Amino acid sequence: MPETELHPTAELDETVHQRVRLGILAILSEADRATFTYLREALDVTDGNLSAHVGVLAKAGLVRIDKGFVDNRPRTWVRATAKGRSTFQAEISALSKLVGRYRGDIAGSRRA
Amino acid sequence: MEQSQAKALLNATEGARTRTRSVLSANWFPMILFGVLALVSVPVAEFWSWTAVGALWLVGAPLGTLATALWYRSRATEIGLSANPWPYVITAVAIVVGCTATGMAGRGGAVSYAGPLLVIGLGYLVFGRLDRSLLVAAFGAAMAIVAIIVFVLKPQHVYTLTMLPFGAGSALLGLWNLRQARRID
Repeated sequence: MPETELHPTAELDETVHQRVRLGILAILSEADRATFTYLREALDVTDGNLSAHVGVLAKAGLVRIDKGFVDNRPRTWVRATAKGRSTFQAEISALSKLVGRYRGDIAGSRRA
Repeated sequence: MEQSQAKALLNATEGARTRTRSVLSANWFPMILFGVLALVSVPVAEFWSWTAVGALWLVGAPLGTLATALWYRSRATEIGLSANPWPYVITAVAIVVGCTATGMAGRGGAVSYAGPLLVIGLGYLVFGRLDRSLLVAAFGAAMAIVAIIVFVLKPQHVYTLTMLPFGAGSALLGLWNLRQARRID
């Protein structure tokens, strides 16, 4: 009996599958750490919006938040955990599969 | 989920990764610093003494490495983004130790000038890989090849022949990187 193949959408992670949260993990997959300010400007979001999304990722154990001071000014650094990096890679792989599957469907329907 | 949504999300994610890589790949400070140091060492070798060249590198290389570490640290604080420093630190220390060891072990022979250049070339190859910079990696490979050629041919004025292309190449690559970094900033 052939093994039933799960639809790629089943592999998407609810926590990561959101534009800003995926953007945060994309940046942190390339860097060791980024400040809250850098993430806010790079992703073009408000403080409150970013704070909420970073909070969701931190609660899921995908990022770690380090608070400190530079020249007596508070600075918040965010870094991806090992779980965050692997979850991000899995999400990218699921999205790529999904895009590939649609491409296959379109090619199949064109041939038919 | 629509294909267009998945594709847009993938494109946005790849865009964020590419921008992050570009911001992190600034390496102009060490490239110019060590390029200038190499260029300065050429007249010292030609018109002064080998002891002076040795002293210049023994003092200049660790100080340059320390200045580079401080520059990366201050840049990370300023822009709010930092790469994992350890692969860079390990490579830089390996270059300084490798150059000193081969330079001294050669006792003025072929190994004492080809060895350090080979170590520098291999180090730049690693930096090119870390920064995903084909230019830096190609420059490192070219320097390693030059090291092998001078080891075999043992030409006259070998120090000048090796340090001029290394110094000029490193400084020019640094200036190119500075131009790119200013565009991104």
